[in-house]
Amino acid sequence: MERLDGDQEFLRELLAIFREDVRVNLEKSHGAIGIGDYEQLSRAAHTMKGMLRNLSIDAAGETAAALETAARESRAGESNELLQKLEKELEEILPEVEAQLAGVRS
Amino acid sequence: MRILVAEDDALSRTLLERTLQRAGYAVISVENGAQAIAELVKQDAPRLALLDWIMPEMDGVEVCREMRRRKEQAYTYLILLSSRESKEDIVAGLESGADDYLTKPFNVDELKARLRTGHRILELEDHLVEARESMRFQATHDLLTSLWNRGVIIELMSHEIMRSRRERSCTAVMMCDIDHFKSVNDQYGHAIGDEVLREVARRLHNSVRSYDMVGRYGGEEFLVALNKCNPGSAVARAENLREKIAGRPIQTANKPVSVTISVGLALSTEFPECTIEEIMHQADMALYAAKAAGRNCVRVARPSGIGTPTEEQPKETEVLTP
Repeated sequence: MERLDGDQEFLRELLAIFREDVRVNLEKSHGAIGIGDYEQLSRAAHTMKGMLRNLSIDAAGETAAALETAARESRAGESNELLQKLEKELEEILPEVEAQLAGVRS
Repeated sequence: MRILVAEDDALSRTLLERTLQRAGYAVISVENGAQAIAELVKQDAPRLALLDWIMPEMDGVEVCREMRRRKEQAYTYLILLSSRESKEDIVAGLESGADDYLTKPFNVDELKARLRTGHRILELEDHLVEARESMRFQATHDLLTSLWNRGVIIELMSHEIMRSRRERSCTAVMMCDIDHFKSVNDQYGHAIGDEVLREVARRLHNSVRSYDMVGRYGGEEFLVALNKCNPGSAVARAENLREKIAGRPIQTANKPVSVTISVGLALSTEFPECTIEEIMHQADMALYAAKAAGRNCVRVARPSGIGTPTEEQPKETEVLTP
């Protein structure tokens, strides 16, 4: 978080972008996997990887990276598993994000 | 300093924007490669760019390639942003014309340090361009008057006469010589003589159109070429140049100095079979005639001999006016 320089307001701005873009990219991922569009899946995973790493959410970032690779190589089974794993990891993070965002507003 | 950020991921883009703004940059951000190109080819475009590797429309590598294909504009320092596992792509990225790359997520100090490198390269580039332009100017211009030098004015005029022959238009060649210039030097000294040369040059230059050409042919001799000149008005324009010099004294550091010029005029249409050298020789002969006629006047070279400005143009000379 050294990049944020302890700027709370800016952190919240980033988290708001994160919350929205994770939602969009998860939807894209499900849509892509449904029709076997692995290129689209790989792109969505790439975007999520970047966001997670920028926020130093490393474990989920690595899952997204693995998903990006698996999707690029069109490995269907592994892509499915990794997407589920990533979703679970994000579910654990998002309440924290929500709390941070709510904390600001009060 | 302005910088372009091309990044499709909103979070990463926002983070970069803020970091760069804090470091004192004015940031222009776009979301894909096509927009990046559109910004980078504008007049006054930023000369530093951070380009995400993977973007929709056109990726960072393609942007680099496209920018390097365009050689006409100032150098742009391009930094690619890549994820850390795509090491094998680094070579391809640099070969596309990127100057450097940075792995995401970026470290602020590293980003700043790499941008400083970019600044150094751009400064070097600016110095080189400046030196090249200055040398180009010195090689083509007369040191004292800043007019075209002898070699260049002859070459430019030759091209122009060739073109006027193709286009059936007319180039007017005028040899202008300051009368009794030696006595100016003798009387007032060479410094004043130089001032007179500069002012005559300035007046000649300011009295012609932007697409006409004025050069310093020799010591106190100037060569003026009027492009696409109406042959019927060439004499009047030569008279106008003569009048611009004789009309009012030149204010030098010491005192006003009055000088006049003699002008020898030759029209390319009157000598359709002649070489450039022969046309210049004709103008030179007319200049001698003007000197012999008492100076401060214009004489015109005609195939039949030297004439005075008031003489009718020979009717058989067919002249197409543009």
